[in-house]
Amino acid sequence: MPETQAIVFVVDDDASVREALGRLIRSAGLRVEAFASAEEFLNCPRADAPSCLVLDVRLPDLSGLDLQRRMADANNEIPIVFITGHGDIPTTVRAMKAGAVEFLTKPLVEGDVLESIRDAIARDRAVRNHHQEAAELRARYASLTPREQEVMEWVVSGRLNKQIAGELGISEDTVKFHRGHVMRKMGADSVAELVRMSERLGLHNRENP
Amino acid sequence: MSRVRKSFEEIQALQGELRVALDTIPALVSTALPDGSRDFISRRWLEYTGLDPSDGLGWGWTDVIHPDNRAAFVDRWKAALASGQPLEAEVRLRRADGQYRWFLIRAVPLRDEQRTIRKWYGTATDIEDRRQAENALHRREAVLREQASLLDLTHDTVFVRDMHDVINYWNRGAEELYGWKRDEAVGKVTHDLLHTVFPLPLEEITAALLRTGRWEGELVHTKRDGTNVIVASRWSLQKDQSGHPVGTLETNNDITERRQAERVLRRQANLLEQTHDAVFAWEYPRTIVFWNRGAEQLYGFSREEAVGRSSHELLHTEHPTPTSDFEAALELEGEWTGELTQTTRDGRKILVESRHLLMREADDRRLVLETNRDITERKQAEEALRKAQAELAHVARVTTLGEMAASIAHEVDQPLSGVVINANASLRFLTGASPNLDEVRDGLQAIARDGRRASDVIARIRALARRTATEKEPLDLNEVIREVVALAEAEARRTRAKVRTELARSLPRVLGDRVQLQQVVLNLLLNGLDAMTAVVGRPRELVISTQREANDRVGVAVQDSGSGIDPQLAPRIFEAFYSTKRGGMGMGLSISRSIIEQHGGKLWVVPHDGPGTTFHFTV
Repeated sequence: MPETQAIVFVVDDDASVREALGRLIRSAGLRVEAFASAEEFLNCPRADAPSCLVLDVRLPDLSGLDLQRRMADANNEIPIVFITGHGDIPTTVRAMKAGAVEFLTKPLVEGDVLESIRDAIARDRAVRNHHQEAAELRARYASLTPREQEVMEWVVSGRLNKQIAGELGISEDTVKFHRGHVMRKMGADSVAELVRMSERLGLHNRENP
Repeated sequence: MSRVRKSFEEIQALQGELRVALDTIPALVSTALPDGSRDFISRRWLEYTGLDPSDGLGWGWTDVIHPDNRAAFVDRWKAALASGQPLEAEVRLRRADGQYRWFLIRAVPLRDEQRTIRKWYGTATDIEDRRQAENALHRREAVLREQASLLDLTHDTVFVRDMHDVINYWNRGAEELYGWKRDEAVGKVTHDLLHTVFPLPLEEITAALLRTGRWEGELVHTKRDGTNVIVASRWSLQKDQSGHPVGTLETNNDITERRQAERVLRRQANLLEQTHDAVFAWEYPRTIVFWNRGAEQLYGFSREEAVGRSSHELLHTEHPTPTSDFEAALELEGEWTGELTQTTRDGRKILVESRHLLMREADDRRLVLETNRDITERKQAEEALRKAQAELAHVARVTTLGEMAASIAHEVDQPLSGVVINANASLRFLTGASPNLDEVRDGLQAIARDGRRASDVIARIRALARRTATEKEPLDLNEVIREVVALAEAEARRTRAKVRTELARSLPRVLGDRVQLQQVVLNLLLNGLDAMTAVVGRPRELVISTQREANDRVGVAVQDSGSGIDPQLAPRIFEAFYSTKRGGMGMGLSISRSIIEQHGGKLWVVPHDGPGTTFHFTV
């Protein structure tokens, strides 16, 4: 998988803080896009890249927490690093429960900010990788013929070729032929790997016909 | 023969006697032939004129007639010769010393039995003295005529009465004043006609008049229409040549109005004594000419001590403005009002509210009436009240700032965060393998800017927290409002409200205390934000607007979209300790109103029909 450059989104209505954060993040070699309000951020098309959102809890109109909920509703997950002026425990709890990566209080410490951002990006990268693998797996599975999918189900259920031939009423050689296709198309090196793939695809076992 | 001789001798003797007689009479005598040429002139003729006998005979004598009379006389003389009628003429004749004197010349013809004129006899009588007396008389008559007409012209009332007080002269002024014509008044007894009321018994007045020849006093007369008139009367005794009193000349002046005006003035002067105000009058340069009882009491100087002194020196008067300004104002406007500091006799400094009135007297003298009221205690009380109010306002400000502490801290935190982060970021750009100096420079600029921003916030807070004496200066209310809005920005963000300003362009500057007016605006703004915290489903918007009002005043309106005020409670919200807010002290609006009133303005509320409230004030 190629390493695409990560983007850090900053949403803070205060120009001083917004600009300073931008500069700090750039100094860590990351790309920054900064917004003065939640709406601006939502209205802006985002590049497909690992990213995180540095978000001021208190924003005019749509607050940081509102934005977090709005994005979760839209199934648009992005790791969020919250920034708040002073420790506001109920807000912190709500944000963390809703999946915030980090909660930074002012005055901001440079190291904490960058570390949180790196963590968040790493997490996003992982999630994105995970999502990408699953998508690839689904694509491979979809490339199987219906007979090959049937064979795969029986294989991951632990049946022998002879048993499968009996179940499907075909010759054992034909089973072997399909099974070879399945292993090659799915890119599985072993039955155990195919089993894991099947689990990730959420296929159910053919325990008993 | 001897009889003839005797007769002849007798005649000669008679002639000789006649000559002597002719020469001894004072008149100048001459005889002339029927043709008018002189054949005899007396010695007096020759002596008077200084002529030689030969020059005086014939027609030569006419040279001594004054040139003005000569031609006319010669004509008349010739006419008389022709007609034979006696001649009488007055001419001036030159004396030997060259001076002319008037003479009456008479010439009568002597006729014989045939009625033929044989001779003319002439006399010239010196009438110079008579002429002069006549001239003097004419002149005196002219003067008298003039005087009489002058007496008629004057507005003064003049009449003359004899020793029995019977009027024998009555001028036009008297006709006008009393209403009786001259012929109605002449012959009447003065005091009966005018019902004279005397200030003294008439006998005393008459005695004084006879003793000194004059009397002056005030009389009351009754006019023809029955009304009374007060006159200033001057009597002078008239005497004949031998010094016997023959009458009285009475000159009267109507002073009724003056007396009434004087009575009013006296009453006013009495009133001036009654007032507690110090009232005194001075003439330029500063000399005190009047000093009432109030002034005696206020300053401790008696009238005798004050009158004649310079008021400035006596009272150590201190003007708030240069004396020249004050004098110019007095000169220009005719009056001046203001406050003065003065010192009393016992050295106490007092503050007086003063009013100077410049009065120009008829004779162009200028008099200044100064009325001063002691306002020392009132000022002290006002000052104490003002201090207490300023103190209270200060406490309220500090309390407000305390309530805003969280959002103020945020307001300082923001730029300070910016500073710290920018500094760190700049360091990182500087210390990397290939330093990015553009970023470093931008970072440093941002640091400078944010640092200023933080210190601006602190300066605003400090200004509001300051305990300063009230200082009024010309202010731009828009600027005052912008500063307050900047200060409350964080608070607005905390309450999720928008603060919008609609500020009129080119407002007149108003005289005010910046801090206190900011306090009022801040108070109204925070109240508005507070009123909107419960608002759901509509924008939380607060609008502050300014507008120019009449007379160079400025109006400010603070309008919120909050829950609104019960119109019945609206009047109570300005009372002290009345609060609808939880934790509110209930002083904010009360203090705001007293601040605005101290600025000569008004603060009021207009509840909306729907949600929202608008507070207005004018300064």
